[in-house]
Amino acid sequence: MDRRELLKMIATTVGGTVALPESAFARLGEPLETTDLNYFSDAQRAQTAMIAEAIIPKTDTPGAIEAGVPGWIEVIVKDCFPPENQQIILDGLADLTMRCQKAHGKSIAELSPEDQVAFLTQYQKDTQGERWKRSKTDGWQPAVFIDQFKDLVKVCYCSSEVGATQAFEYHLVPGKWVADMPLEPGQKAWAI
Amino acid sequence: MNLSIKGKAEHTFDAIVVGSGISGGWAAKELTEKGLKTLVLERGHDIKHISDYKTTNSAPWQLQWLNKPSREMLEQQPKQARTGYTVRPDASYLFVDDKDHPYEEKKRFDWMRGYHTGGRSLMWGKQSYRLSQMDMEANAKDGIAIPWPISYNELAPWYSYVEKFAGISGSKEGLPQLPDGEFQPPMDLTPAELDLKAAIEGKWKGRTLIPGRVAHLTEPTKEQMALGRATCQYRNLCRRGCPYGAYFSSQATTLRAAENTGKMTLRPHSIVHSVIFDDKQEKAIGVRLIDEITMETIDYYARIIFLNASTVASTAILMNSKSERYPDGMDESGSLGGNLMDHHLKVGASAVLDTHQDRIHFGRRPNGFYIPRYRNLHEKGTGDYIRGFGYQGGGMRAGWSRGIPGFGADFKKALTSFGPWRIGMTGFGECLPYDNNRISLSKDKTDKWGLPIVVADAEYQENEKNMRKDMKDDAVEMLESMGAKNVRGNESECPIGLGIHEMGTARMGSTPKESVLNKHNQVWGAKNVFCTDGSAMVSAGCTNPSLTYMALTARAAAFAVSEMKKGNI
Repeated sequence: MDRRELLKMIATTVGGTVALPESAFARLGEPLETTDLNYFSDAQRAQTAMIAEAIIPKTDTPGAIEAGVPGWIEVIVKDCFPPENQQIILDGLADLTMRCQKAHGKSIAELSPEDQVAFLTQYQKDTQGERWKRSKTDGWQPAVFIDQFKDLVKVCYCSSEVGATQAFEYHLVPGKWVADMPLEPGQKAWAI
Repeated sequence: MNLSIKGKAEHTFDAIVVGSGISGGWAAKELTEKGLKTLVLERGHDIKHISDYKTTNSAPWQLQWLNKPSREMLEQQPKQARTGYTVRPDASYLFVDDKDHPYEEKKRFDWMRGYHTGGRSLMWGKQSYRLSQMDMEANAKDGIAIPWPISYNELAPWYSYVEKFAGISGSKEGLPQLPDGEFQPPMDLTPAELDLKAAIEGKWKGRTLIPGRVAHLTEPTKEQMALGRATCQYRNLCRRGCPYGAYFSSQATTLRAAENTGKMTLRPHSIVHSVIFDDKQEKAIGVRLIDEITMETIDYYARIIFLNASTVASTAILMNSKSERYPDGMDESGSLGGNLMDHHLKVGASAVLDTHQDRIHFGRRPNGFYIPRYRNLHEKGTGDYIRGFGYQGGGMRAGWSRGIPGFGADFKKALTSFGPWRIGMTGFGECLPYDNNRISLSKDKTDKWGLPIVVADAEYQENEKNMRKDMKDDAVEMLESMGAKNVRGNESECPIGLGIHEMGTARMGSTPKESVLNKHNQVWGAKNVFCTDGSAMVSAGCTNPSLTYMALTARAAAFAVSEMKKGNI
């Protein structure tokens, strides 16, 4: 499934119950099986994919969806996040979706790349500001949804097989240590 | 327990070594190579070199949760997780399950343990430094605790001996506070590190920066290659076990050598309960163990016993070894359990550079730079403290884990590009020996094998606390001296144990009134019992201690065999 088709399909799922195709989760590495993907609702799964792809879009290298990021996010939130942060993710998915609809009348996946960045930047600014206000009355506040989610997208993308081997250069066995060498044009950064 | 004569013969060895980690492996190697039929007891499960390193070749995407710890793992290993890096899917199975292995904390004590063949030699940091003559004379000079019963010159040939076998990469520097050893070629410093070196050597007389000295092969010897070891491949996945045997672990080195003699029997799942002391013969005759799986109590007999269960654990065994002679455990000095030490860290600084943007590095060096101690040597400390600290650090291009603002294609472009050079360092400070920093055995709580659990009651005291200001300020000043940007000092709480350099609790000394062990690491009054792990340390220095355990063990093993041949034990 190409990206346009996928995005079209995602666009129709907002608020609905249509599941993402298997292929969106195809590159998940060994331990992750599709049966592990039982935490999000179909809508949350679609929202996760849309937001992740807006944060790390397909360019000359694959984006978050092709790298299997949405599936990794689901299992990590399910198994690794403490309950209070799980709730921040679940609430944040709905909140971001709602504010995007309110601001643009459509889902984030339907925005142009420029509008996606503008919306996410504004959304981050707004929610960080709200957090700061809350902290003045209620004390310390956990990181806002978009910051936690962006961090998840980043870690999952850079650790994924697609991300590590296509957007970065990955060496399981470098075989040598070179402390100083020139950075040649086009050299991708090291995956690990 | 009654054993037939045949049964007793099957349970009798020339020597028993308790523990298979860094020092136990050395005891096994030395004793078997000198012809002794040796039983090595490991309290945990067996881990075979290479074949049992189950995550050694896993890519990040092949690890569960992309190597993030799950809630369940953190609930199972809450204390092992206190480092922030030990409990992760790639290697958490090498750290103990805290529910099965409880201990009590009167004050917070972070006790990281690995119960399996090789112990923590599989997961250690591998930084390998000699204590100096100054370190070993410091207690006597300062009138602190008790003096070391041996001098640096007595230990130096044993450092050489273990370095040649283990393989230490490093550079000769001629520094009195950090003696040179038998080194394989050092791992090169990066441009950022060389800049820092030049800046601090230019500004402060007596300060320097050198490549970390690390137990990795960079130019293996024939002996090392014959054991199946190869040069470091710069994967930096060491703590999962190295399939090349490139760093020093018991599996890759000492236990292999011991196995090659045909004289070693390794018994895993063997939790030692006590040393059996025979009051009539005035010596130990063996050890009592509890099988981890079957819960059976079993005795084994030998002429020589080496305790290498690790600091705290060896002391717990000595405390639990009661006889007429030793009604409260194998000590008459009152020092058993006291003087628990570690190195205090979690203080330093980091910065970024705006230079060398067109330079990068390749490979993952399992090492960094080292800044040897200078405070209270060339320069007096600015606070009220004695002794000093060293720094470990690195200067590398920042990777994708750095904070990058923004979203979308521009964010992705920045994310997948090399970040700026980032340089940082962490102090490792000396901890003085204090009698009241103690471990003891619980009087009412036992573990699932019925053994009394360890109670820790220790904390860093004024001298350590007073040192930390210099540790932070000096790091900031040195980074500023090289013209680094965004220099930030950092300091956070560092409970004892977090350095994973537990030392002391069964110290060596010159008289039975002041110490548990004599200058040959023999228990006073039970001269066929030796303890050569970190328990024996009299002072801590500020450098990573494992190399010293290796040297003490090889030295004591040679002495033990010569005494046995003379009929003295």
